[in-house]
Amino acid sequence: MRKRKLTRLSRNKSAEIHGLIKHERRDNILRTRLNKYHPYDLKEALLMMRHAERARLYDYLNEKTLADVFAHLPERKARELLNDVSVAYGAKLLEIMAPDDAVDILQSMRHKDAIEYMALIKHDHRNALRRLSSYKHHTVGSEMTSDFIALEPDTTVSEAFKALHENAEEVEAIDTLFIVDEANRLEGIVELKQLLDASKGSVLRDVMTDVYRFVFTEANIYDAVEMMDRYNLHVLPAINKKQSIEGVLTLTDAIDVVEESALADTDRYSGLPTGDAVFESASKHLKRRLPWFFVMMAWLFAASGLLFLLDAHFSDVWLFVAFLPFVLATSNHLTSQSLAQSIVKVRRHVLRPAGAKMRYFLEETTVTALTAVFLGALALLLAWGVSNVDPEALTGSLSSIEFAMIIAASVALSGLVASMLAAALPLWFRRRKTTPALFGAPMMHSISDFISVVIYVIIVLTFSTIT
Amino acid sequence: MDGQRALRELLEQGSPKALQNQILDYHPADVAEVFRKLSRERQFQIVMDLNHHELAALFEYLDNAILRPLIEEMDNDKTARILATMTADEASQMLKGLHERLRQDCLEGLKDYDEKVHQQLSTMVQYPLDSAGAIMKDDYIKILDQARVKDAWEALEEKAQRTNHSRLFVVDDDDFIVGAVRINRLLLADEESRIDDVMFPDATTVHYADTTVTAARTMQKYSIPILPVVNQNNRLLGVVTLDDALRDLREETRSDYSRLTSFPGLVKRRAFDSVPARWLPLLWHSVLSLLCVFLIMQVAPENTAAMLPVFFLPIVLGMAGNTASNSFTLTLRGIDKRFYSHPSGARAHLLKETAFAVTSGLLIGLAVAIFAGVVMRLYTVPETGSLNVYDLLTSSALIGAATWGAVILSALAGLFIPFAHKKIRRGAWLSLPFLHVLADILSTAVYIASLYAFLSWGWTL
Repeated sequence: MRKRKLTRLSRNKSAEIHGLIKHERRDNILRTRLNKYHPYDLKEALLMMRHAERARLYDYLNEKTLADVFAHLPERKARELLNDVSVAYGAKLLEIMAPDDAVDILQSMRHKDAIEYMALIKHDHRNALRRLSSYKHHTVGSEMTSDFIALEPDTTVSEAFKALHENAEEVEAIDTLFIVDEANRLEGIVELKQLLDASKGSVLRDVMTDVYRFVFTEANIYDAVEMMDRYNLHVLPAINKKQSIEGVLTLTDAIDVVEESALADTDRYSGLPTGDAVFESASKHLKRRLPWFFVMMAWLFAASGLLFLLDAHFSDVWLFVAFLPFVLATSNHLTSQSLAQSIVKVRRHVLRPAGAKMRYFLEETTVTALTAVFLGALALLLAWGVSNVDPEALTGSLSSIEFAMIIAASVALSGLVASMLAAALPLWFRRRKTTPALFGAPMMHSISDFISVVIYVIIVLTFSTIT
Repeated sequence: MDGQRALRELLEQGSPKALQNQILDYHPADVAEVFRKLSRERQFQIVMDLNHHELAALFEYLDNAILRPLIEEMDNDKTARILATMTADEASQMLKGLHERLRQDCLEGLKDYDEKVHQQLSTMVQYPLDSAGAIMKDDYIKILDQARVKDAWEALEEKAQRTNHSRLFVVDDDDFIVGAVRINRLLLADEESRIDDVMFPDATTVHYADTTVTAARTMQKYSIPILPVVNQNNRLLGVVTLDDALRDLREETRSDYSRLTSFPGLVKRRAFDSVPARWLPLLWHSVLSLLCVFLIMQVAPENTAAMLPVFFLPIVLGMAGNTASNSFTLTLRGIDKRFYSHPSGARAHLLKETAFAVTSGLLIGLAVAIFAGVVMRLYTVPETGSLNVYDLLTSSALIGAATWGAVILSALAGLFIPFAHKKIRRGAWLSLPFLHVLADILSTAVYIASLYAFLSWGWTL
């Protein structure tokens, strides 16, 4: 009976795993079946489980599978769940998983905890982890895999196959072999298909391709991904300044980079909590998002308060009030463009070199200024048109062209000021820890509304005192 | 960059001989980039000079807009040869970009040249654009489940040239896929053991009508570089590979971000290059937001006091826009994660977000009402003096309620637009800034309408 229930669920693998843990009591069945699932599905199941269920799962999974499951978890979650097992076992898992994944988890820990784990990891593994963790997070070095097969050029094809046999368990990507000299300098690459095609006695030097593309470990990861995409590369060897090979960037790594960076951009832009927060309950959302709403509202209250304070001057001409949403919306849109640009630039780390930030900011400001002039001209045209449609809306001494000029000036100036701010804030105030809500688009919009109201009011008042 | 200049010179002025001799020194991706910028005549000249192997490599990197006129001019025989040389997925992509008549001509030409490729491509062009079926290739090795490991090695050696080796697919007698074997597993296994003993019994697959992005995400999730494409019966049709997935994912993420920001010029190195892309949406959104202006003009007041509530409009519009953009982004992200592919998932999300909008709208409305009450209490109307308590309460309550309505309505708009997106496929103009304009218009309408109602019921401020 129970068996049938499980197969019916089988469309959703993680639910199936959860079901097994909850209902299945036979040890041997659990052991064989659980280890056959893909680590991704096991990970999804793990995220649904309570503490006691997780402990059961850890018992039945073998070390290799469990390490893979942890490697699939987001770093912070992995760090949290590592506390479920003993430090010694945790260190063992970190040792088994691919070094780049282990480094990600270790780096998300507090320094003290990381050292505790590191102390229990075998010497040579520890060195590899240390080396990997010394790379900055936007470089090729931080994303590459350091598991690969390197052979000397004098190796014969049959010896190469032997090396493949020996490494098949440890090394994930064995489609490509790297040929290095005694100083570990890269001389060429041999693809598995070349190896299969070659006669068993020939040496790798005669089989290998000696023209290949490579990157430096210090290079920008996004440039490397672009290169892989452009030239259809499956692997990209990463070498250090001494030209010895340190690691390999695989397509899987590249895809992860694309996926993660896209998420990071949208999160930062939309000012929403990161990651899987989409799946949280409504009340949790409320708790998380509402405080920020009130901060935004404070800016808007200030804007409205200002309007009230100065309304006597302002409301003489009803059209000024009617155009308020137009002025706010237009400068808002300009703001979001600048913000979007800056967020991507910062994340891609193209602004590293000294002065690059300032240069980009000036360039962006010029573009914004041009755009603001364009919008001003547009506003001039539209405001002039509207005030002619309904001439009665303009009272007093104001002519429709004067009115249009006030609107145009307000749109251009408020757009420029607000979007300069939006371009600058992510550049100079970005810390990895700051919550995205602080400088996301919604908050910037509220600030921009405030700025626009101030500028609008100032311009209208200045004009009415002049005339 | 010397290589780049040499390449440009070669393509711009090189003699046919020089072209044939030197073109192979460059990567086709680089050649394509220069080729794109040449004049039509020169492009055609080069196409005439190169042979089908060189052209097949080059064509993989060119867009259909450039290819179409070239293929129209080329004789069918050469086209057929190029198509047969290209990988199946690239060839079918190229055919898809052609007009119906031209596509038929090409396929006809191919029929005489290579019957097998003809048949394969004729089926592949039937698959919808952007589906896994349209980009799949036959670049894989399959093996029968009763075979032995040594047979697998033989198959590998036999097909060494054209194959992606990282995993083999195991099929039964009817070509139904029953599992997959990683090459690492083969290396570790005993030569004599049966394939179905060493295989992973549950091959992750993708249906041919699924989108390419679904395929890409599946590969990313399970970290597998090659994914079998199957039909309803689990029959193996072809594979999609990770390099295609990388391209699709990059495009998808780019278009997602441009949905948030309304312009796609983000990958540009220099800010100036993005100017044209930025101005168009700005123009469109500005003109749209004039609607708000007209709406407010409708309530041109008889006395100054009646327009007081309009001064709260920035708060209402601002908060409605922010709520809307929150639900927009969350929904978009959920769709991308395929969380709502199942109707119940979508329903749960809609309910949750609506509940959120109602509650947060209530709280926001309350705050606005209190703020409005305080401000209006402090304010003295020149003609009539301060407001009395009853009017103050009712008008603040009205402002709060209108805010509540505006927030809910905008949030709902933010919820449904992303779903419309996926239906309209290329609806890049339905972006977040557009939603902001829409939310502005909706909120202004709600706000002004309630104000109207308020005034016409005979209440005064």
